[in-house]
Amino acid sequence: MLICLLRLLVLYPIVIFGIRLMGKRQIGELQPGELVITILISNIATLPIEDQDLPLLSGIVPMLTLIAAEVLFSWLTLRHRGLRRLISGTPQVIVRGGKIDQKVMRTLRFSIDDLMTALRTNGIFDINEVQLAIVETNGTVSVLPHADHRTPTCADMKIRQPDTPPPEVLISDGCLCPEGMQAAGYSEKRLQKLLKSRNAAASEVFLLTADRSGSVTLIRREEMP
Amino acid sequence: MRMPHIRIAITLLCAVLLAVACSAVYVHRTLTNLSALTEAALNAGQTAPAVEALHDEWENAVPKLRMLLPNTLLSDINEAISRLEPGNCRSELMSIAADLRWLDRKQVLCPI
Repeated sequence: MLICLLRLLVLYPIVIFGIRLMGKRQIGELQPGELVITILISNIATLPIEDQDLPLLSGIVPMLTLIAAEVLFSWLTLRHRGLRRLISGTPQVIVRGGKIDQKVMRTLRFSIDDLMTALRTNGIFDINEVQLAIVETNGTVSVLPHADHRTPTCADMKIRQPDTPPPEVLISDGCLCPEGMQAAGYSEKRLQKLLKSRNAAASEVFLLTADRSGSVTLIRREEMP
Repeated sequence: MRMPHIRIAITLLCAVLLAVACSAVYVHRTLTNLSALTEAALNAGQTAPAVEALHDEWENAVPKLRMLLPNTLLSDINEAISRLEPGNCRSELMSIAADLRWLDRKQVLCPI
């Protein structure tokens, strides 16, 4: 049991390191190759934990090799469009001009129920509202409704709105956030002045956000019972 | 994809390949050495010093081999070496030599 625990403690940081090295996409929408690598790594990691006759290195070496190969391969696919198309495939149009392409749907083994589910997920309940629907390489469906059914934007309504940067987090759970302070144009001196005006110390603040227009939101920490 | 990730990945891959190559060389050398000692013990008429030398070499090598080879493969050889009796172990030594050669071929010379 002790060996099992120790192996787990060694393998856990290696898997975390690998997922971090492979990047953000590995924890979001997966491409086919990335899905394969993720499944392989999770399976290999369990082998030396389950079977104590196997050396720990027989789990670590293939995992590190897969991680390194995945990073290098994704870099290669980024540079070569042909390779990218070969590995990840290409987006497929299943509805064009309101007409369902049944041939493409059969090729993708995409049922009408799958299509309707994807449309409902995109907030569309009537197939007649769809101008274009595309199955992306990661399996998600992107939908463009007909112009009549699109939500009007400020540009459609000829309303001019200035771009406003979003509020930045200045203090999170009592800790200063230098990146947020810099983005919102707050120096430490200015922040202290703001806290003084709100009669609060940084350690008492649960969340403090501010934007460049001067709008500030302060939520105080609640006392723990 | 940021370049530091590529550099880390290339370094990692090189380190893994180097480590695998080093471990393969180490396992091959150790098993060849143990095979030679087994043959020597056989040729010397299974004398106590020859068997003792094989036993000592095995004891030295086995902690590292455990990190590199499946333990089930080593357990059988370990049991056979620990049961060796000087002067009356010709068949056991031949069996150990055959096991070591098989292990070497399986793990290093023909790993697939």
